[in-house]
Amino acid sequence: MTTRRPEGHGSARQPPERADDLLRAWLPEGTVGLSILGDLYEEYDELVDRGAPAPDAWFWKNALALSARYALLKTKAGISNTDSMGGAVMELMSTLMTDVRFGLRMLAKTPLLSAVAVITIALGVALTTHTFSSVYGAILRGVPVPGHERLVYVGENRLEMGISDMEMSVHDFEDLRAQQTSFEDVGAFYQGTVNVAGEAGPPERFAGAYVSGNLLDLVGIQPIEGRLIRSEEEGPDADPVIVIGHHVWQNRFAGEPGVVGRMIRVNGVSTEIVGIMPEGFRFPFLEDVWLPHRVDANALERGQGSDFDVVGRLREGVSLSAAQAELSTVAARLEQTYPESNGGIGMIAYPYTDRFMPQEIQAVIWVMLAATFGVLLIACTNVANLLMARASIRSKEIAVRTALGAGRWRVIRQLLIESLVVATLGGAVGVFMAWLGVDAYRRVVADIYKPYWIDFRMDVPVIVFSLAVTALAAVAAGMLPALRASSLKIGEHLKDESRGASSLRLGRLSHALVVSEIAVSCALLIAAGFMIRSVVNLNNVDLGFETERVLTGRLGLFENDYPDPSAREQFFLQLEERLTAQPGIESAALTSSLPGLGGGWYYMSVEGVSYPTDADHPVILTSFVTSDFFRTLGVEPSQGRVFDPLEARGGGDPVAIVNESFAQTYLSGTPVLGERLQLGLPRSERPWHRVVGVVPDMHVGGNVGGIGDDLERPERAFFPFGAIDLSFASFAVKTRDDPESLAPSVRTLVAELDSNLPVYDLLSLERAIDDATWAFSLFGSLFTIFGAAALFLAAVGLYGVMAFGVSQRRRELAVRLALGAKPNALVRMVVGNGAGQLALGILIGVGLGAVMSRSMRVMLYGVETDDPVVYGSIVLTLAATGLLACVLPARSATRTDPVQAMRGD
Amino acid sequence: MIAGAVYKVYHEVDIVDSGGDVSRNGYLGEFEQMVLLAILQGGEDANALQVRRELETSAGRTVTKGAFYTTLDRLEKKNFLTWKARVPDEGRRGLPQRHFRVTPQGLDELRKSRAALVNLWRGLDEVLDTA
Repeated sequence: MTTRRPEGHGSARQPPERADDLLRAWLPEGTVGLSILGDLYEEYDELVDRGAPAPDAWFWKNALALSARYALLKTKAGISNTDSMGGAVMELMSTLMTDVRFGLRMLAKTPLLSAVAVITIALGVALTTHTFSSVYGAILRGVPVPGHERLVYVGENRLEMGISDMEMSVHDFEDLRAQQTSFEDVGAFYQGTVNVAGEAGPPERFAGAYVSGNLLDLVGIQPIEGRLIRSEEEGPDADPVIVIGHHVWQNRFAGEPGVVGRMIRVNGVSTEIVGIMPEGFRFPFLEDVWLPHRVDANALERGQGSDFDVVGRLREGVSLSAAQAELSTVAARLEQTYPESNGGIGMIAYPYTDRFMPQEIQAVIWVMLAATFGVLLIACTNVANLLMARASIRSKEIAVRTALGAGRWRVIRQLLIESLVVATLGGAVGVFMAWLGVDAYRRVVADIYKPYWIDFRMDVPVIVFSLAVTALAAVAAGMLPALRASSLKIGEHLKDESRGASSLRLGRLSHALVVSEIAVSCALLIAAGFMIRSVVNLNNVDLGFETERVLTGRLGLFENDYPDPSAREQFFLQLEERLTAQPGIESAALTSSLPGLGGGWYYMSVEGVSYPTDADHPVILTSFVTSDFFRTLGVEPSQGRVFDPLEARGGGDPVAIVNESFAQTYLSGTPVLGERLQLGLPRSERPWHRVVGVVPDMHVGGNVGGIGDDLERPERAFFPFGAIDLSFASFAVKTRDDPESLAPSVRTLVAELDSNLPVYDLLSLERAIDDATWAFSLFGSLFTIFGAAALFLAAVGLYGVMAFGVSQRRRELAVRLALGAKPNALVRMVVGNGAGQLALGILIGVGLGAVMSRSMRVMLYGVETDDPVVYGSIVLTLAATGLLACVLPARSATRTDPVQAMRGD
Repeated sequence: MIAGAVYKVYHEVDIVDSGGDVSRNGYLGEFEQMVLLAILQGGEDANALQVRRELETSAGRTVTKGAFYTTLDRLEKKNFLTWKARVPDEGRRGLPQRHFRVTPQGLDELRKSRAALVNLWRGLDEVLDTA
């Protein structure tokens, strides 16, 4: 059934889409299936019209029942169709079915225990599958281009200056292209915004890649119409061309045929559309359009011009390390030939996707997968314990079977199949839960700006993985009890009427399982605890500025429309004036970068300090701001003053403002005000700026999840907006009411200044910062869920084992009571046994947790990995939960009537 | 008592029918009979919903959709019923609706089953009424 889901006619309400998909997957093809679906719709609409309760639940129930039915029929038809094998397979199936049916009957006899076992496995499988879908979607699947594993990123480094990875200059790229032999080809790109106007509709801003002529060819994807960019189109004199993405074609050009060959205005230049890329192609990151880079290396002096991201495709049979060796040779040669520009510069290569998914984040994702395997391990341990408990009740039944001639393997098989039945049921529920979870997760992260190949879905490898995990769970949970139960000494068990010393008791093995279970959940909870603390810290972090009622946005001016610096300055000045005059706005400011969202790093020199080498200069996160910047963010200078409007425009004496950390680190021992700073290295010959003010530290952010550098390098400097020539700038305005309600009028205002100029990232500052810290909230909440699941499972497991142990000792306890033992003393004795296991488990768990939290240090914010609060609270929670799980069954045992307990068995 | 018996038989049919051919011995299974009779009760152009509702009112209990539709498929395969599909002018979001008819072979089969049952019931009225 592949027909599209029809729109509703009579009833506005739609049946649940997922259930609908399920039906379409399993109902028969053609009219039969469609008519059954039609019947369901008809009844569903009737229910809705009648106002019946929960029509969606009704639809789900029927969808599940019908799909299961037809799935079973299809499977059977598939098996009996393979003629030669058919007979043998059916024979085996029928033996197995007998075992399965028996297993189901046994499970039905102890419904509560079975339900707990099934839910336990379901939780384990769901969490593991869900995390694996993240690992697969983010790391393993890779870029969807042919031979993606041979795609390599080539960067440069300058280790002596602590730069481990940087982009490559255009000259180095050209030399590399000419000299290398390890790659089939190397291509280059840089990313930038592309403004498309002229056609019908408002001007629109797209994410674009400015590429070398061979790049798209090297990637290996052909256009669906037209052609790719050609090498001869790289130069600045070639006719301008653009290749557009499928979605741009669909959205901007309504999918019209004949778009190829049309002229449009791109960044103010008339440009020909030469090709359309296939749907979903967004290489190198999340691009909409592709243009030639139009940089001529020959026209530039070495060291000048833009830097490139470089991509190579390894030749068949050439390893990454062989390529790396060649790159080192090329770099050494360049260093020798051009010592001035290339001194100390090396070349490095690594898998392309690592460029956008840093190793640290990959490590965190792998740790998460390990963590979920921990949860699965707990789940299996629980089920093993439950099954063992049951096997011990059944020790007599098993002894009888063995005495009657059942082989050891036959007994093992029966018990294994029982655990397989539990695992299959749990696995099915778990995969279903994972499916819902992955879907929800996918929707949550849909709008996050991330590489185009990262997508979370239940595709074949993920499903195969979940099946493997289920099988693993079945064997892990079933093997131990089965082996133990089958190695009984028959005679003793047949004789043994009471549950004495020789019966199959929950022995050392079971206790070891409980201890390891507590240890694993303790470790997971510690990891979760650190993540939760980080999220809490992040939410409560003192940003040092006000985010309420601030609307922000960003603009980029294009060379063609604003060819010289004064035109750009003129535009920005006008913008600031108009924003300030706008009703509903209290103050407005322009800045090169917004606080909380990163910024640019600049070399700095302090007057009177000598720096032996370039690397000794401080490198400072610097913003260029207008006079009302601090007022708009509610920041008061702690010393001195802020820029006046003239200074902000770059007029008058050059001035600067620093934050308190800067003053402490670099200007200590002197009166700060009046000190002079120079932007860049001394040879830049920029003017010296006199420090006129000191402001409190403001969180600037900009690293993983919007945090990072702040803590280690909190020094900041602010220069007048007019101190350098900017073509991109952000604005921030303090509004009287809800900031986002002002967005439309700000858009109109910009359009009045320049109708070709799109405004982007128009968001309240609060939202902009929230967006930047998504990774934290996401990982934090995932770890919290894992931790909670682990705690729940550990408590259930401990309770189950303790309750069973106590019920086995009921008689003994009754005798003790009858002989005059105090109930409280008995409770203490029973709890004492459990407490020992609990203590040992927690001890091991704390050690494991310490190792785990160290590996996720990069994701932690404002909390040390030996934080006693985290350890203390987790140990207390776990101890309290564990003791409760011991006390409850012990108390209930001492409350029963001794006479009854001794008699009944 | 009788309702209890019907219930039991129905469930056995329900379980067995996923296993294959119910009427190996030439007779219709009870649920199959009920479905064919309900189609006849529904008149010329009975559709699936009408047939199922007829079954539910006559038998006084719910019929699972899985059992119902797979039984229809099986009866069609045995040539005991045919159907024609039509797309109604409104409702059903444009999806087709099947209208069922019992074939002459189906009618024959029903007659045979009735004859067999009537024979078996003969003379048992007293026993069964008091039971």
